[in-house]
Amino acid sequence: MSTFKRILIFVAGFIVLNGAITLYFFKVSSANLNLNKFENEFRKDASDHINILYLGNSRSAKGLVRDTIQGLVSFATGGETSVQSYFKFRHLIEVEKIKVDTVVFPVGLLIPASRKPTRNLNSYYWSKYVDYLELGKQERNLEPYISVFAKSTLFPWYEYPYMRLKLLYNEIPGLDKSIAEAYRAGDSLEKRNQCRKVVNYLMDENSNYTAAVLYYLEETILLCKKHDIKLIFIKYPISIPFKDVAIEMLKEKQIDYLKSDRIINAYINDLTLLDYSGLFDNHPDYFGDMHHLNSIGSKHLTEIIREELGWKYRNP
Amino acid sequence: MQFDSIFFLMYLPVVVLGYYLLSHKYRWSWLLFFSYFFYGFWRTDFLVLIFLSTVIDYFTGLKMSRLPDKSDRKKWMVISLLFNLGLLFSFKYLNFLHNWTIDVLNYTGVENQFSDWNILLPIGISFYTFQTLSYSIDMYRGSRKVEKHFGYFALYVSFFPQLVAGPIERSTTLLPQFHNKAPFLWENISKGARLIIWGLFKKVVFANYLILWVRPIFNEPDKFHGPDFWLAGLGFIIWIYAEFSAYTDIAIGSARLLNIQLSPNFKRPYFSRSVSEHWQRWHISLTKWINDYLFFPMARKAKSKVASYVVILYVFCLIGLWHGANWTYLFFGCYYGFWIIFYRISKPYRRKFLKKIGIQLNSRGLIFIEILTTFSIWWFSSFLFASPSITNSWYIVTHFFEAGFNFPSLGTFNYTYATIIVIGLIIFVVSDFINKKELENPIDNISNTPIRWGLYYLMIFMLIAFSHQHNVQFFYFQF
Repeated sequence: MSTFKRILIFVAGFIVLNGAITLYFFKVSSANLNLNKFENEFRKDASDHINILYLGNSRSAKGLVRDTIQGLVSFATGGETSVQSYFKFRHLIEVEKIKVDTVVFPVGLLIPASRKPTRNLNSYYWSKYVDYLELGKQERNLEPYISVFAKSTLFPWYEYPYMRLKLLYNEIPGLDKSIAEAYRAGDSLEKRNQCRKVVNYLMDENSNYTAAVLYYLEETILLCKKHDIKLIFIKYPISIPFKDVAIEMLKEKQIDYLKSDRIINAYINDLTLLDYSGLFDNHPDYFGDMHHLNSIGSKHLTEIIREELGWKYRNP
Repeated sequence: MQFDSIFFLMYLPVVVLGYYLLSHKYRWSWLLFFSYFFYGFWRTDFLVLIFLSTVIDYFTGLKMSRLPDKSDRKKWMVISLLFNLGLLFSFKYLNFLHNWTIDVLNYTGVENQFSDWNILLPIGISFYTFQTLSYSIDMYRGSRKVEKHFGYFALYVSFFPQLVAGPIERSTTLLPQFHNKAPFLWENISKGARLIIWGLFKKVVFANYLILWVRPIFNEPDKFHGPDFWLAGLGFIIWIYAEFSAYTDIAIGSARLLNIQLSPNFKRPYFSRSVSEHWQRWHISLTKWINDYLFFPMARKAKSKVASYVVILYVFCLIGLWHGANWTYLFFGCYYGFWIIFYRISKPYRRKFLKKIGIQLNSRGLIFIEILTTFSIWWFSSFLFASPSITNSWYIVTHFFEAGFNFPSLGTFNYTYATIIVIGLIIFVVSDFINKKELENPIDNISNTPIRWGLYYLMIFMLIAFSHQHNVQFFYFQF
């Protein structure tokens, strides 16, 4: 057989294998990926006019009992960064042309600070919302974003093996139930240890604000102004040990974690800031772990948010 | 441009396609443009250095070609030497010398107003200056014909696959290949692509993860103990081989796509039976350069055994310093110089001893012990080679047997990385082990096509799946 034919067969084999892996990935991913579940629930609830669009990461998602505030549609997921939230929001209002009256975003310790603009996992899912090339330009580092764009297009499964390994070894603190259990059962020292684990994970090696993170925080505010959308930032309740440890570690790394607050304060007349970060300082029993509410806590917070937003229960 | 970046994967097909589409007359200009583009992708201002080096050596070469008498050619060779070594000294060693002077002055209590310099080291400067120097020295010796075409000569200096980290090519092997009209052969495309995949696999799936465990131990040794250092040393020498040979494989593979053959740089170095054999198998193009232009000319002049040992020590100190302006590299060179001398002096006694106890020179047991000894010497050298400062090296050596084991507490330690590293390590080590024919690409040893193809598929899919975590610049770029 000629070399050319061998190359052709090899390439064809590669395409077939990639196709098979991709199909398998879609099958497994659509069944197991939490992001898809959140997306499906959102699509089920959403119409072309949303009174209150509720976005953010797990702190938002766990801070609210779904379907309890009339007119509020939640599209909060897990592990979502503020930059991803911005792109998702922009896509919904500018590409899907959904009319939104009010939008709610989370802010607070380690949101949106101290994180990469996008976490590398689930890039395939995020590729439909995030403009990686624009993000690369903002970060002044195109290479990784072109790479993510190319790979999530050609090989949508590419992060799956890494994720599976991480899950196998229980190395994603957000999904590691033992951390929450150890936190709940532990004494104050143990609580701090568990907090350090989580804060370490949430902070990168170079965990300072990137230019893009701050840029997109400001862009979120400007986008709302442009489309005449009422913007609400919520600082969700976090436990005292988490707050202390996070601030300690941010200071240790000489990170100016108040930068995002300064941007928000500069636009304070254009937005509403609901600071609930210390709301449950006397209720450690309201927390499922160090920075997420449990069902009791989220019930209480939902009530407060509902009152604040002036809406009634849809399903009392 | 990094070989393991997405840009290179876009750049290379363009270069190869254009190269074969163009007529032979214009190919040099295509490759020259893209070679400068490749380097300029990192920093455009340092292209001036490559260009100046090219101009100086081109004209000194021309001048030398017109002078039949060697003594007349000398002054032109000296001009070339002064310029190239001056360039190397200014960018690589002046910084070190300046800061060292400040340290000495501070230590002795002499007041000074010097501030620290921070001259940026142009990537690959040691490689391309050595390459151009070899041309000038060959011209001086009269051992090669002059290259009259400036474009071809400029391409010889800047040819992108080997520009920043070798192999250091001789004009006698590379220039004729540029002149010859290279036909398009699918065989070259296949071989080149396979080598690139193999190199990328070693770098991206294995070396980039392994270094995350090794580097922190050398950077902050005071947080670790003896067994941590043993492991880190072992990790480092496996890593450096995987990483540097990966670069060479991608370089050779990329050149092969253009039907250009580059010299091998490695021949299973960790199967060497002696320290001198190790250096014949490790970074071969540098060792050959040093042998041809430095060691042999000096050794020929050495009249006594002692003088030849001095030459060995001197040459190895220079090899050490070639790697970088740091005491660690100088001591690394000295360390090897001493071992080579020790091997030379002890050779007759060792032979005598083996004969006395009845062990054949080619017995398996002896070969194993010799390989293990050479490997251990290399392993121990890592404490100099990998440490960022001599203070760190000293700390490691003086705490070498300190009890304790902190490795698992390493911030970068996790089982996901461990799994990726172990898979990479198995493929890498087994490939080297079975490569008894010392083929350019060890995977070619597998004659069973489905297994071979399966391995390539596995490597490609692993590359896709595990390449997104970190970008680590090739270690040898700094030299």
